[in-house]
Amino acid sequence: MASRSEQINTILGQLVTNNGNDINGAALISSDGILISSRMSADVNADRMGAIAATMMGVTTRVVNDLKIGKANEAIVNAESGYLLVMPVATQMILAIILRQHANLGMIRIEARETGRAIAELMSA
Amino acid sequence: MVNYKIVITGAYAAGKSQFIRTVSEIDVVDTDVPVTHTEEKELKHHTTVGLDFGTLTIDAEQRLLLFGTPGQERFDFMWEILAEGCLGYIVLVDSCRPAHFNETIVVLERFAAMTPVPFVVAATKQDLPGALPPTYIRRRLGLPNDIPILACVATDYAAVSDVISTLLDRIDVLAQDSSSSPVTHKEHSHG
Ligand SMILES: Nc1nc2c(ncn2[C@@H]2O[C@H](COP(=O)(O)OP(=O)(O)OP(=O)(O)O)[C@@H](O)[C@H]2O)c(=O)[nH]1
Ligand SMILES: [Mg+2]
Repeated sequence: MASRSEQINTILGQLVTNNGNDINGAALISSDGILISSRMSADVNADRMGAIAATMMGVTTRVVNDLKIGKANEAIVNAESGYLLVMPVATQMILAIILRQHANLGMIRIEARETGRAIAELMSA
Repeated sequence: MVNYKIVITGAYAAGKSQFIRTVSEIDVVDTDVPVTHTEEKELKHHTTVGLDFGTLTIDAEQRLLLFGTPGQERFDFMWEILAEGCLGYIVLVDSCRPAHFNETIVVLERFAAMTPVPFVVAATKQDLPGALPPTYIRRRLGLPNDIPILACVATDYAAVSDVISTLLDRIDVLAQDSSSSPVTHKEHSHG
């Protein structure tokens, strides 16, 4: 039986390999910014990524609270040659996905939500 | 590898970004932008608006994740975001600017209200002329005697690691003192 962290790694790995043309890397991070698991290309420092993604999610949560528009589902940064998507998953965790330029954002958002559900299920098991 | 989250905070221009830059073994994440506020520009030209982030390995099993905060109170929401889950924090105070002591008191009060974890104070810029002694700064900040205040030069590796070790000792001691109560500190294992 694979450990929980191995299982998380497998789930992230599936997300990345199933969407190889669109996804450059994915990471699961605790909401306080500590990396839990990552599938990142070597040119990205996963620890830095964790700190940044958690800050982004924290700021996003803060913004939606101030604007009173409910809870944050995700935050997307649209950049010149790619995207960063962060979303809360399970309890106090964040899924961060780096997308390539021209990625199918709509599709990946659906996949990301499914990945989030799979992680939540695993964590509550 | 176990990661421990430590927060470096303090008022504007206290040396938080420098402190992390001095000891981090990875290229730090820095979110400094040019200062536009006239008064604040008198002190320096760049300021942190998001976070600083660096890492410091203690030994084969343990590593510190250092999160630096912005200094100005208008970014106080970042203090909350960054303080989440930290094991301890370090409050930096510029030894040369008594005018900033009141802002430092605000930081101290806000952090104490946010989290019960141990902290130490480091009086930075002790290498500069006009630096006030830590004992005097302690009095001005109204720091209780059981909270360490250390003389520090944020550009100096040995001085910065000394402050960090003092905090780590405190975290250990306080964890042992409260061994009867459940440990609330989170540990995250890597990978
Ligand atoms: N000589 C000397 N210079 C220092 C020391 N600490 C910080 N500095 C310098 O003071 C300036 C301000 O330091 P920063 O690290 O930007 O301060 P900060 O607390 O991050 O500032 P904000 O993010 O804007 O609140 C930089 O030029 C530092 O290199 C110190 O102990 N000695
Ligand atoms: Mg700074």
